[in-house]
Amino acid sequence: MRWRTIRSSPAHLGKIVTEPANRKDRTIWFVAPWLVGFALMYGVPLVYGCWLAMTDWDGIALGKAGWVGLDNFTALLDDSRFHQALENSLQFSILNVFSQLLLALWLALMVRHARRRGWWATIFYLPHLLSGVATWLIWAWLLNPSVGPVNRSLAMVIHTINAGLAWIGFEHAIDIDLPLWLYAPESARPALVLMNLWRAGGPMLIFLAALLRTNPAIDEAAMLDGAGRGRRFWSITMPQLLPALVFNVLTVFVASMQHFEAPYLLSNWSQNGALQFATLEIYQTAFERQRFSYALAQSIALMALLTGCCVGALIAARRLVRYDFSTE
Amino acid sequence: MIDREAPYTWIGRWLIALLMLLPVAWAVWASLQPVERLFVGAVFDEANADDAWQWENYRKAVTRLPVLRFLLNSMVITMAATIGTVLSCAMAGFAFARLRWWGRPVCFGLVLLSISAPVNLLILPRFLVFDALEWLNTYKPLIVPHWLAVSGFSVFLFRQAFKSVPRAFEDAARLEGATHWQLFWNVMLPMVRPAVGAVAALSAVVHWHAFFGPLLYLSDYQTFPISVGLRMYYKMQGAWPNLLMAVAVLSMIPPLVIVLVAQRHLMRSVEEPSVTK
Repeated sequence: MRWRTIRSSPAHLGKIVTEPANRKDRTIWFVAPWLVGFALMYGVPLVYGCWLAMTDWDGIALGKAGWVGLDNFTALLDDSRFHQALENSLQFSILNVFSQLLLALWLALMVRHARRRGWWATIFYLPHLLSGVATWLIWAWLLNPSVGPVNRSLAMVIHTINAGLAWIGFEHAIDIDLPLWLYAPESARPALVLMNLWRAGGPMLIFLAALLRTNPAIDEAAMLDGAGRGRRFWSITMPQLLPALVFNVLTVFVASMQHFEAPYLLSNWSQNGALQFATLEIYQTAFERQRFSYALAQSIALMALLTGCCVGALIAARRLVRYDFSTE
Repeated sequence: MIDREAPYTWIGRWLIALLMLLPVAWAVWASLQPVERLFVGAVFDEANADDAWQWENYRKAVTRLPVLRFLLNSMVITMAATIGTVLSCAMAGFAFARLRWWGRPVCFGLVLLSISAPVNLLILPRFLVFDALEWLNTYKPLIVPHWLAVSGFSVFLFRQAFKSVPRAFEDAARLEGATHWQLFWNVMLPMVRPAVGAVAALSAVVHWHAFFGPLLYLSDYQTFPISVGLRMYYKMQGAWPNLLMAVAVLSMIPPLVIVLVAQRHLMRSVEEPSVTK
């Protein structure tokens, strides 16, 4: 029989604590997989990476690698290629966070009171779950400047409007060049932001969950006091959404700063390096220029930078964000 | 009742939904066209009813490169990784929610930290560790870590689910002399079935789309999953957008099926929100 000692103490009043039944029933067996996994995928790579970043390893002969200390990290300070990549990533990230979260919030507000809410949430979330290499390639074709359907539709619309205006006497009223999207330095990043808009379903779900947990009593009280829709949104809903907003800003920002798939698949010569993002630069340093140690130093520096940003933002947000909205 | 929406919101909803589904619709349409149509032809609307749908595009698409092989590889990796994720993350989540052990708060902090870790930046150090373990060019780097509860997000989801199971069930099982494992496997896991569904669906989709990892870890094209295979297709057959779209459409079917099957579990919190106090 598997009956074990049951201890009851004032501290555990109402709770029952059993001794581990036997060696096979230890807590450690439940924790061990996670512990090993965490060490294997986070701990060891970080330590090993930091160590290798202080050598001049070329990725081939580990035996010939010499210790160089912090040289790789100091070299980062005047590596203009890397700085440019960081700048590109940062510009893209800011634009991306802003536009994606705006759309996500709008979607969440539209879904919030819908009658078949789950169904609508699924529809808007679907692109997020479908997006991968396949959808980047689909978008690349959609935005193809000469034969893609986006520019063709735009051209058709402009043509129709012009024809209408010409009929009442204005010749060549609208005379604009269609954007070259991924084939021009100035429009490549906006094109990528547009593609990312399509995936706003992820942050939308976070906003939606937060919206559904807002306290309706406060909103109701404000309405009885005569507050209009806009006023209620900014003064009642928005403060309750701030925790979700902080979470979304941080996760989307960190994800955008290490965006790899799209720039790797979609960069081309006519962009003049506009999609040369940090992660792509690191990948090329390692696998195309064979400077493994230096690429590791770049990875670690960017990781530290991002972690610092997040911690700083969280500390700053603590002053702004109220987490408890119970009416008691 | 205050739960009323602004007038005409439904119009915006339909418009955005149509806009969002348009790229996929175009891909399906394009995959069934003769290639010239995509270069000289039209968008959706121009009259082109004289051409039948080009179903043989799909046959051509899967024979130019071993696309079916890529799809099969993806399925194997996804299944193996997903089963591992569900099992190991459920166990870890159970330990974090229901067992008391030394160091639990610190370890849970590490779980939360790992959720927001910059994974694409960690991939290079990870690559080197797998290289040292001689795991490259095998599926081990894509599967083994997921049997070790490496997804902090899934661990967190399971922990929340296990925490919400009423204490009485645990006490009853303990009084009957259940071991940790019996409590976990026979009592708790059946009670968090929605969480199992959600984690399984989300992680299956993530594993299906994984690109950066397989790109680095695998070098024999026969072993490529569909994500890396698609990139290869794009590089080699890029001038055949109709065939490329056919492969893209094929690669989107499994995630679509997963989402539709698991829709109820994924949107559970949205469809029946917890009552605010």
